[in-house]
Amino acid sequence: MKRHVKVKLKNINFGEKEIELDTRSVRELLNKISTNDESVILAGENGKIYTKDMEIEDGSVINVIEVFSGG
Amino acid sequence: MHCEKCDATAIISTNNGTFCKEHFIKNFERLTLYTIEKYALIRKGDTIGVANSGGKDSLSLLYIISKYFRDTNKIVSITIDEGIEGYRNKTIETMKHFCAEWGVQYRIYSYKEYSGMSMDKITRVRKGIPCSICGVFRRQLLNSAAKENRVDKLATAHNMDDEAESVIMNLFQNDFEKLIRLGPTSGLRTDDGFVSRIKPFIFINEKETAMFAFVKGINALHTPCPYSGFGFRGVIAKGLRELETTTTGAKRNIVNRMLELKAGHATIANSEFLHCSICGAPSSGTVCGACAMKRELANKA
Repeated sequence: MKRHVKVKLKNINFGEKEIELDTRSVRELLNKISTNDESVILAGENGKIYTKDMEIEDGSVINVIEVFSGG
Repeated sequence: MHCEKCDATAIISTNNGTFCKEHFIKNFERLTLYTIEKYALIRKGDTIGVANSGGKDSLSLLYIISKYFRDTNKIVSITIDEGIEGYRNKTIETMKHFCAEWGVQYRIYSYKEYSGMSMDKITRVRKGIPCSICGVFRRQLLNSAAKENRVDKLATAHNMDDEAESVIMNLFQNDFEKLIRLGPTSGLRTDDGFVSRIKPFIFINEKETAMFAFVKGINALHTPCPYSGFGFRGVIAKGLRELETTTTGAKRNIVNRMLELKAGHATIANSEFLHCSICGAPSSGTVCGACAMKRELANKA
């Protein structure tokens, strides 16, 4: 299975962007968008929620929901 | 990663556990109810005010309080409209829909009515960090709104992240008295002018409240206040989240140590409040912070 994948991200603030991952890992994705597991919920379009140990399939579309303070 | 209660795929892993969707929801509600019971936050018959911004935290709190206490307690949702265009007007619409769905009565109080200016206008006429004046006005207005609605307990959705941030901020500012006012019930002292504030989410991570809102379909806006980046809290929050990813339980440890410190200094409870010479509210000085700021704004109007 190839390790290099392309993933489309959607976010209320940055809109849409495509990123490439060398290892398929959620940790790499979090690093690439300069965030961490505490700060976001990663939700696939099929309802799947990604945790930091998971792998991401090529062509996945993921909503990046930021965990902000309310107020 | 698998759920620690069953073999299903986990959706979240925090210091409170690693859970699938079903067990996460159960644990979230259980932990909230445990906190309420352990610290005697709500008594049968209390009128509960829920400070409700229309954001994910307060809607999740209102959901749980409505689900478990509406048969035994009167519940009123209290919203403070700071007057932040493009932000608060949106969350107020969400709050109205939610309250209508759950049959909860709501009240809205505005900065404009209280101080003569919206928050947007205050930021134009007054230099400095917006959060400092906003926090003072919000606390004062929530308290007076709670009194007006004969609320016994005012529930706020402050979570473990908020509480740990407050501990660190007070340590940096060397303000020990403010530090030990934190905890599941605010303050050490009581006064007829103060409505008791309670924090049922104090042991729940912010990510968990966001996840709860997400999986329960609570349609809250996931954007920050446009002024939030100006505050010291934002800096501390970012650092703590990074720390928590490498040191799971760091926030919980910070909150636990604060609770131990608080328990060890309960004698401060015996000292008394002063009362503001202008509005009569409990105050640490002869004029409360809110009246001092209103006076300052009046000179700029």
